[in-house]
Amino acid sequence: MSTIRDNILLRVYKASFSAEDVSLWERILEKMPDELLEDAARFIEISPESMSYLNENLKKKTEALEKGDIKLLDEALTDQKKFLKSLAPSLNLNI
Amino acid sequence: MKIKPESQFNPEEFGSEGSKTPEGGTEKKEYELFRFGAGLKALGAFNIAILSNYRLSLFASDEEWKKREKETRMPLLKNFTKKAIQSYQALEKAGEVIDEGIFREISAGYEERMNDATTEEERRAIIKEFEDIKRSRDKKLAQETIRKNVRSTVFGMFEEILKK
Repeated sequence: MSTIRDNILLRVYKASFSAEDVSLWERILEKMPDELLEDAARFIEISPESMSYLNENLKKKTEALEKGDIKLLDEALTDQKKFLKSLAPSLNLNI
Repeated sequence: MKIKPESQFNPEEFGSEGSKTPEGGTEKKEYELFRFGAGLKALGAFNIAILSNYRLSLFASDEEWKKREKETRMPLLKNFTKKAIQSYQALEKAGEVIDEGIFREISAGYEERMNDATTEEERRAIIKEFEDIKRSRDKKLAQETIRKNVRSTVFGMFEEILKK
């Protein structure tokens, strides 16, 4: 297992998520290409307070795929856009 | 707007917890864009991993299960892939447009300082400073192009799903 993946998992273990949530993170990180793990780790490092949001968003997307729920999937993608805009409030991102 | 040399944004300063957050002006915008870009890339990485997870499930050995999966989940998977890619590309473009705007602002600040400079020595120092900024930006953009290619390759793999 890569060090970067280990570092993200350490954050996950420290975040007091449920055992089910931790297991989801482990499965998802296992499938993440190494180059992209760096992107995930970088963001978690600069914005550790976003862990809860990432956890909820991951759960929502996987639940939508498991249940075949298109409405939930749309909701997760809309949430994602709102979250990204909230990271840059003074930029008035036109998205 | 004048840009003071000491106010130049340095992403490295924001790389760890408890580091400083700029209070305003161009530096704040740069910081927010940096944070937005990092968040966008992270969510893109998670979307790719989620898609990988489900794509693999479509290649399970149990034929009956695989058939059922294809019928029930394939349309949703295609939908997710399409929306995730479209949303990512739109957000990435928005970030690039803002990045260019900020750089124009920085350039204008240097131009103004050049106009106000009274000695040749001062002008040379300003030019050198601006060239350093440009070099650092070019380096950042080159690194970003490599990353973009990785993302495009992975997204390309998923776009193949849409064709099946």
